[in-house]
Amino acid sequence: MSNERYGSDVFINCPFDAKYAPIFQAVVFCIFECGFRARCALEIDDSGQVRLERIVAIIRDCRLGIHDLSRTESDAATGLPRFNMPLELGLFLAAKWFGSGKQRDKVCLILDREPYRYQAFISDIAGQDIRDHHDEPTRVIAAIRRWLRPLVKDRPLPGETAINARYDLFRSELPEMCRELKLTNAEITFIDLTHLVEEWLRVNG
Amino acid sequence: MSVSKKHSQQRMILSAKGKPKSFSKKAARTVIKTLKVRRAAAVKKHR
Repeated sequence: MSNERYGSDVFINCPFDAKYAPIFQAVVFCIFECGFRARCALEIDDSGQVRLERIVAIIRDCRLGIHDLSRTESDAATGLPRFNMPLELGLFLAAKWFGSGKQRDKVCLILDREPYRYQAFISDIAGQDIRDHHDEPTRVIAAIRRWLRPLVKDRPLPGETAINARYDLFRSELPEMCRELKLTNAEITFIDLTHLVEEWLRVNG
Repeated sequence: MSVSKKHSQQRMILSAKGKPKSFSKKAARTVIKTLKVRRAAAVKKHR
């Protein structure tokens, strides 16, 4: 089935741990603020569909992709890194190069914690659009806004300072929103978050 | 705790798995509008 919003859907390939949550929320907020739609593997709850199938379906649906490799590091317990994010980046790039039609238009932004760190574990991606964020939501927002800017031709985009100020306001109101909606911070699902961001932007537009 | 279990728990933090949609967009909009009104009132009072 063809996705009518292929051009404006953004696949988010990033960690889902609690420490990363402020950055994840900044990514989602910035995408919607710039007029695009955030998609990620957490949006579907279909136990009959294997995880990789679900990811492939979303990658097929999205022209744009944001891939954060900042958690590709040795785990304290096993000494092994987590390779889910590099794997999903590989799938995205494969869709662009081996796919047909609009799949070839895919564009991606790769994020990491420090500049050139990726060269130590995935040097083959040199030449892609790679930005560092030092685990700071403000830098993530700036990187995404700059990356999306050339893709928006029909409307002005707010600057990164304005988006960051609005994101701070959204974050400050998030606990109260959760309280009113009878949710704890830890219970916010991806669907909840996208609803809150979309509606917050609509009301405070 | 095994690593896979730990990662699974971490993923659940933002995951929709096992949870129905917990509120409607309309409910969210109502709450957000209320907060906006409160914020405006607080700014006015501060002035």
